[in-house]
Amino acid sequence: MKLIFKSLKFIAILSLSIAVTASHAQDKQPMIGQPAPSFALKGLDGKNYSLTELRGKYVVIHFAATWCPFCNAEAPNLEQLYKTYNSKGVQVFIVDVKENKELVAKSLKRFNFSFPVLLDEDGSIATKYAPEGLLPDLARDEVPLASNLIINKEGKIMFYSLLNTTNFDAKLTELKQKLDELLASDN
Amino acid sequence: MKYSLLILLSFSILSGTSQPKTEIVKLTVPKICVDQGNSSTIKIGVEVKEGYHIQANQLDDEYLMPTTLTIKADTNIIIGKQVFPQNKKFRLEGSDDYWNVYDGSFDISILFKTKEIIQKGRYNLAATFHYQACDSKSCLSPRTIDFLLTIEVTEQRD
Repeated sequence: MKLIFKSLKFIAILSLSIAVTASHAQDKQPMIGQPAPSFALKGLDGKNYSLTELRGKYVVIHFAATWCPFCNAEAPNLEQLYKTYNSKGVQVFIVDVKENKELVAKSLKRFNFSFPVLLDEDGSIATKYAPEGLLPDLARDEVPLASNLIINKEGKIMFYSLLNTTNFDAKLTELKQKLDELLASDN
Repeated sequence: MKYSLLILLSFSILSGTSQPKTEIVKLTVPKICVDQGNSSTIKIGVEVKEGYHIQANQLDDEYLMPTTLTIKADTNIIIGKQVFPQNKKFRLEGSDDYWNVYDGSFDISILFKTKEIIQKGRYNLAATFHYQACDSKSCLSPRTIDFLLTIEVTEQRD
């Protein structure tokens, strides 16, 4: 009887610990494992880009706005990331939220991005990427701003550095670690 | 300065053009008395919600959104220099960049002058406070607070 009680106690503690860890992980990285909301957006280059066309590639998305200091701090590191990982089958995008083409083109010229910058002019795509229930005080299209995501080859979200729940990482250290991990698992 | 004229500044928020979900900034405007043809200072109080900062009026990065205050002048009320407070430096963890910001409570002083020929009565000046706020982990879209400065001018006395 005593042994059964001890076993039950152990299972209860273990379950609680797993639940807490899972909950914490979910807090840190929302929408993990979920299918990434689809989008078809026009780029600054005038071309159309669709997420579904990128199946089979890893996709890194950074939600940005020209006035966003966090985004601007990350910008040079995104370009570096693209240069390092593009040859490994990683596509990088910036999705600019609720700004017009002229402003975005003028502002981002200084970063000389080699990868596409997409225009989510009405904020509808950013809204789709706002995790339900997080940051309820913000407009939904504000929530993903300055966040980075990795979408895997099957179109599922594998990394989501929502700033509300993770530390700001201008150098994209955690994102690169996750990318390396995913790329390594393919080999 | 003679304060025989009463200029009553009343403040009313008309609308937020960018639909703020949460109130980050509160503005307060004191009552001010000034004579016809005299100058005075309006001090608009700004209170930034705890934990947040807003970009300063003078920024090193031209692409960031500075805090601005615009007041539409009346023909007989001249709006002069605006004095913003000394900014603070904010460094985001994980970044080498420093930004000029305001936080807490501060005043913006605006010099203004009424012309001697100004008629007594009430003058409504449209004003706009524009800011962009962040906390240490997220940034909010630029927001605008539109309000009226209602100035009541009474007859000048010696």
